[in-house]
Order: sequence, then structure tokens, then C-alpha cells
Amino acid sequence: MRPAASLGPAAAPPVPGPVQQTRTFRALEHTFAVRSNDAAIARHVEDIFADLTVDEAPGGTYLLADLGTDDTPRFLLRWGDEHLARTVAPGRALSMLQWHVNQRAVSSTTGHLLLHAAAAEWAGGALALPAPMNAGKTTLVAALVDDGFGYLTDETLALDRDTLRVRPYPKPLSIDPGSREVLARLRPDVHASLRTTLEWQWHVPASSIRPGAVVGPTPLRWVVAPRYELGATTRLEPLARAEAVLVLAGQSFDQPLGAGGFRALADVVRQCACSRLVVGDLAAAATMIGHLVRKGPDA
Amino acid sequence: MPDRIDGGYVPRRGAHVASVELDGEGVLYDERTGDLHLLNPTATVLWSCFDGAEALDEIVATLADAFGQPPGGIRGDVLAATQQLAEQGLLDDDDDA
Repeated sequence: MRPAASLGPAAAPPVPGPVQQTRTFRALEHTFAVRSNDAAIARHVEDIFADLTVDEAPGGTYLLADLGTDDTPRFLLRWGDEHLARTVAPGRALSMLQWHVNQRAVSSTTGHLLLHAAAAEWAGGALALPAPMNAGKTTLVAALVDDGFGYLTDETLALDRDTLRVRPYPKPLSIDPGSREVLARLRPDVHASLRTTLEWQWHVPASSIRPGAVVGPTPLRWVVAPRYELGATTRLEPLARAEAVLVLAGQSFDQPLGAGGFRALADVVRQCACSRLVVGDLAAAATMIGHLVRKGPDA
Repeated sequence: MPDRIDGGYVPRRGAHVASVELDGEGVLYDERTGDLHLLNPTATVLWSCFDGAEALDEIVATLADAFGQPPGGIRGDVLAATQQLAEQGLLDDDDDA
């Protein structure tokens, strides 16, 4: 099991007003609902997690409440009995919620290799974009979805160890301030009371970029390791499969990888075409990936 | 493990090392440390010879014949590569036998 972060149990402050509960959402093996006394927050949560909605009972519930006090941080976030955060702005609490959902998804999920990677789908094949934080994965996968690719994930790629298929984790794309200019058209529409959330991350469900973008389990066919470099000429370079194993292993949430994980990565890389991508211009990068996948994985 | 590898040394792949070959290049995973090692094509061929049955001078002779080169031309490189693999803890030493 991978450890999940928390601040531990603490007594909950009283929450004013009636509390409503959202539908259930599934983030890999983490199922949850969110309770809130603020109708706009509850509706916003339903909107951003729309692609994770499932018809089943939740494994637990978050509380995201407005305590309505004037002189202390008023937005409270809890997971069951565990206090997670208390924030001045709702946007910060929503980002913390997204962060905790991701943490629980990683710690709860077994039977899969979990990699720090975005993934998109083309013609029944998955394309993995393994890279550390702030390398431009979300920005790139958002552009690909806009261009007609299917959406698998923007951050946590789950590879089934038995089938070697990518299991979808269609979480909302978390778009940071640095990417807003190039992705301006994806600016979410939010309730007036939540406009300040737009100062933090934008949480954008893939289905709002393109209806029907979310796809099912998909075999991995391409590995493209992106690296954003300001001012660079966007280019695609060959990556030896042996080196691709090291690239993927470096982005594994499981450290150490274990011999089984190592062999699984090697098996999946055998069926992939592998490249490095230097990204100087987002549109050019998306176009290059489009050309790559149209050639097919065996080209 | 001898301090200095010579032609009489009999190398054996470490039991704690998992290996795969992809397009002629080897990748090794050391289960003790969690480290990965990338082998070039020549080192990959060499690794496949380390079955604990032959001394390095015999391996040199076999490889020289296969590559069409005089043994003296590759012996230094083979010894150096073996020394490096040993120093990285990837070979079984006598204590592991």
C-alpha cells in the first residue's frame, strides 16, 4: 500500500445550514462523494468531477463547507473524521480536495503500475506522456483532446499488470496559471460566488473540452517523453526502447519498482513506439504527435 | 570478488539482478538497490555470456571469433566492462555461490 497524507482525526466544527451530498465519483479504486452546505460548491464539484461519476455507494465522503465566519479561514475540508484543510478561499479548498483525491487514488489502487504520466488515445491505442511535475503534461494532453484524441488521464497513468492496458482515470484536467494563455478557450464557467476559484487551478473535465472524449481501457502503443523548453524548436527525437524503460521507471509511484514491475514495464514497452518530445510551441507539439500516431505504432 | 578482474575470473550474473533485452540493448534491475542499468549492445552480449561456466579469457576467445577480431583487440575492453559490472554489484561473488 502507498501512504496517503492526512493531518489526523480532529473534532469537526459545527456546520451552518443544511448539507447536501453529491453523486458518487470513482478515482481508480477510491470512491467518494462530497457533502457541502453551499449549493454553488456542491454544483461545482458535480461539474468538475462529472467524468468520474459512477452509480454506486461511495467508499467515504468529503465535507467541503463554508463555516461563514468573518475572521478565520472559513472553508473547511475534511475526509471522514480527518481534518484536511481550512482555507480563506474556496479555490484553495477545491485544489486541496483534488490533491487528496489523487493521493487516495494512488494509495488505494493495487494490481496496477502507477506512473506519473498523462495519457491520450488514438484509434484504439494509448499514448503515454511520462514526465515529472511542471513538464507540461496537462497542457499537452488538453491540446490533444481538443484535437480529437481520447482522454485517459492528465497525471496518473494506471497500467493493469495483467492485461498491460491503460485503465482510464479521467480526472478533471488541473490547469495552472502558467498554461492559461495557451488554453484560454478552456476557461471554465463558474458560479459568481466561486469566481475567485479561477485564480487557483482551473479544474476542467475532458467532456467539457470535447463531448465523448473519455475512453475505456486501452493498450499502450506510444511512449512520448515530453520536456518543455522555452524558445526551443519543437522536435520529436527517437527514444530507444531500453531507455524508455528507464524513463517510465523514473516516473513510477512505486519506489522501488520491484522485479515484477520492471518486467511489466519492459513487456509494455516492447509493444510501443518510443520518442522524446522537446516542446517549444504547444500547437506544433500537438501537430507532431498527431503525425506520429497517424503513421501507426509500427512505423 | 577479486580486487582486480583478470582473465581467469569466472563471471556469473547476480541472482538478485533481473534483466531484459530490447532491440539488442540490455536493461538490468538490481533488486537489492532498486537501481536500473542500461547496457549498450556490446555489454548486452557480454552479460549473456556470464553464466558462471567460463573464465573471461575463454569468453574473450569466443567473442573474438564471433566478431572476427583478434582476442588481444577486445580483451582490455572485456576486462574493463566486467570490472565495472562487478563494482556496481551486479555480479555474483564467491559469497553468493
